[in-house]
Parts: sequence; C-alpha cells; structure tokens
Amino acid sequence: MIYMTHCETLCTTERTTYEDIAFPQSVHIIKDTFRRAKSGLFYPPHKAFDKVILQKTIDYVVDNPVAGKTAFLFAAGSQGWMGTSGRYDRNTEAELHYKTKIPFLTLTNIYAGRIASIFHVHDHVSTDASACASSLKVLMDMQNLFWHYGFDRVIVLAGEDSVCIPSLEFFGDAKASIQLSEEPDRKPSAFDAVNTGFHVGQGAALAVFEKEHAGMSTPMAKFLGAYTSAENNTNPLGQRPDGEGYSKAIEGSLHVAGVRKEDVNVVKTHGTGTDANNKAEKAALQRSLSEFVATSYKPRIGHTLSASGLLETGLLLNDMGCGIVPQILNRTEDDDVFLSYDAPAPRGPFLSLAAGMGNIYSAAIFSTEV
Amino acid sequence: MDFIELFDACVRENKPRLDKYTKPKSLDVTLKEEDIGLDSLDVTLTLVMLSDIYGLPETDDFNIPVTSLRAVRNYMLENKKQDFDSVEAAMESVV
Repeated sequence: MIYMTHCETLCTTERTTYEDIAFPQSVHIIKDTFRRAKSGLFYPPHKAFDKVILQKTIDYVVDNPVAGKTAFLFAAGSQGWMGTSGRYDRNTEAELHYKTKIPFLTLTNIYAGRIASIFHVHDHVSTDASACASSLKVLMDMQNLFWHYGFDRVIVLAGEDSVCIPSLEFFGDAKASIQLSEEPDRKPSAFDAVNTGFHVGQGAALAVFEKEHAGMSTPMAKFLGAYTSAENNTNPLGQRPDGEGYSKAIEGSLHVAGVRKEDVNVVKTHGTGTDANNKAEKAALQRSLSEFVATSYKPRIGHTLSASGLLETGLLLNDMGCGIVPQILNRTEDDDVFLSYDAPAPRGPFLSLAAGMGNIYSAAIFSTEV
Repeated sequence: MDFIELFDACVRENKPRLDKYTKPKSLDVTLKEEDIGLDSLDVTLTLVMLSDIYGLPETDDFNIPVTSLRAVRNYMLENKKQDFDSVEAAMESVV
C-alpha cells in the first residue's frame, strides 16, 4: 500500500491586475517570489518552491530512512518551451517582464538534482514536462517505481513559471484566460453556461509518498492508482468534446486501483472552465462514473499549470478533512453534481483529474480511509 | 561597506538551505565547499548578485577569481561601476 504522508501547497486566492501587457489580465500571484526576478537574479518558481520545501519535511525524510530506494520526481510542466514569442509589442518596463540572467538555473533537471540532494535522494531523480497534467502524470511513474523497481518512498515536487509574460500571452491569445476588458461580466468558473475561463495562478506543491514503515507519520491519504492516456485527436492543443482522453484515463486509473466506478463519489476536476474542457471533462465523467459530486479549484486559485493536479488534490484533502467538498465558484445555475454549493464529503476513494497540452490526460485515485 | 557582511547577505538571498553554510570569518577564506559550505551553483549565484551590486557589465566571460574571498573583493573593487555606503543599500539596489 502507498500512502501520502505529506503534502505542502502554495497558492493564493488574491489577484493582482496587470494592464501594461499584451493581454491585460489579473493573476493569482505571490508577489515576494518575484523579488529580484526583473533583474534576472531570481527565478520566481524557485522562490515559490522554497515555500513548500519545509525543513520539517526534509528532517522527516532524512531522519526516517526507508528500507528500499527513494526517488525524487519534479513535475515541471511546460517550462522547456516557455520563451518569448516576438509576436507582440513588448513593454520591457512592465513589472512581469524579466530576463533570466543565469539560464542554466532554468534547466529543470539541474534544479531537480539540487533539491533531491537536499532530501538525500540518491536512487532516482527525474523531471517531467507533461504540461498542465504533469503533477498527476508523474504519479503513474511513481506507482511503477513502487510496484516494479523496489522503491519505498517517492517525493514529488510540482510547479513552473506560470505567471510570466509568455504564459499570459499564450493563454490570452487562446482566449482561455479572462481578459481585463471582460471583467466583471465574465467570472472564472467551470462547467457553467455563463462564466467560462480562468485566471492564471502561481502555485507549487510538494508531496511525500511511501510504503508503510516503522517511522511513518500519520498518512493524509492512501494512493490507490494512476493512469495517463491520450485520445484520438490530430490537434494536440484540442480536446475531443466526447472526452475520450479523460474517459480512458479515468477507466485506466480505476483498473489499476482495483476500484469500481460506483465507489468513486468525489471528483477533483481539471476544471479550467474553458468551453472545450467543460464539454470534454463533463462528458467523460458522466460516461465513466456513476454517482458523484465534482469540484474545481481553479476559479478560486487560478490555473497553476503543472502544479495544479497535485496542489488541488492537497487542497481537496484538506477540505474533505473538514467534511466538505467545496462548491465551484461563480456557478450561475443550481447544480448538485458540478457543485454550485458546498457538499458533505463522503469517506472513501476520490478521483483527481488533469489534462495537458499535447494530448495528455491523467487520473489518480486516492482514498481518505487510511 | 564590510565585504564579508555583503557577501553573507548575498549568500543568504541565494542559497535555498543554510544548514551547511558557514559565514566567512576573514577575507582569506576560500570559496571551496569544504570551507564555507557553498556548492558551485551557490557561488555562481552569489557572484552574479555581487556583480550586479557593483554594476559590473554583463559579458559572455564569467572569470571572477575565486581563490579567496579577498580575491573576489579585489576584483569587484577594481572593476566596479558603482558602490554603496551600506549593505542594506546595496541589497536594496538589486530589486
């Protein structure tokens, strides 16, 4: 059995507005992590990661060795391709415009190796670039390490440079993120007929998964299984409206977890709120599960890209610990499935979903019964 | 401005974990990991920040001598384009 014993998360519900960029919009940003970014001396994600890599977690890992091997997986999202597009007039004085003076710092594998060494992890280090699905996609890698390669502990770090000019241009150009000119008529929500889209958000998460051992701390959840799929789609940026990719991921995760679809009653959706995702994810859930309630955290904290899958799973665990599955903000219709109100949280298995550009759909099943 | 204090402030801004770091007691200390607990990445980041503080132009070459902290200080002072009265003012300059 695999347990999640730690899950530190970083996000904010507060928003800051940026008007002097190509696609003016507001974002969920943790300002102090951008200190000295403009001069190129710092890279904001690293400052954000510092806030989830807690000394107490390091001490726990170092002071409680496991019998088998330990791995460190860095779910780094789309960091590799983020660069300036040159398609838009650029205001280099804008607050969010910064250069990376020390480019090797952006190489995710070097950063991963550095953080792995802090945790004294010397058996396996790897990075993952599965876009916004990254932090759930690595859970499939994680289960393989546990089940087939003799690992007893896996540390997962998730996040990327979500709030930066190229990212805001990309999602602004795609009309996925809500533009300043559209506020306040358009609010972030998910699975809603009126409110669509999201704000981009900064976030990070660090989780420790391990097999049971003598010194193990009280688990937050049981990890039951994960699966990542693609769908039959020639457009790597598109989503099939019938939700084939999501369905294949959900059914794959149910199979490896050994869980019946009737037993999954809570879903943390990817829930970006875009028209395409609303159609695809809703169709898949209605086809592949029985009775469930679904929530989305993106209307609350923004789309934190690669961090979102694991980060939002941590938030749901906290909320379910308080007895609720929270409503999806800004729903304009009463809905007792894609929740327009807070619902009581049942105990037992729940499903987390994520999707990433490049035709990537990930599902993971956890249980609150430990 | 005390260079050891400035160096220390830059290290604290750059190094993710300070448990292995030992603040230099003199300018004669080397920048080797076994002496002050900074790895090569820590040293590079710290030197880039010091270069910014002293206004050293960015070049493709990054040849700051690292045989000792004194060598770093001498290089900075010989090539500086700006200076500050206090460590606090220096650190505020690298926004």
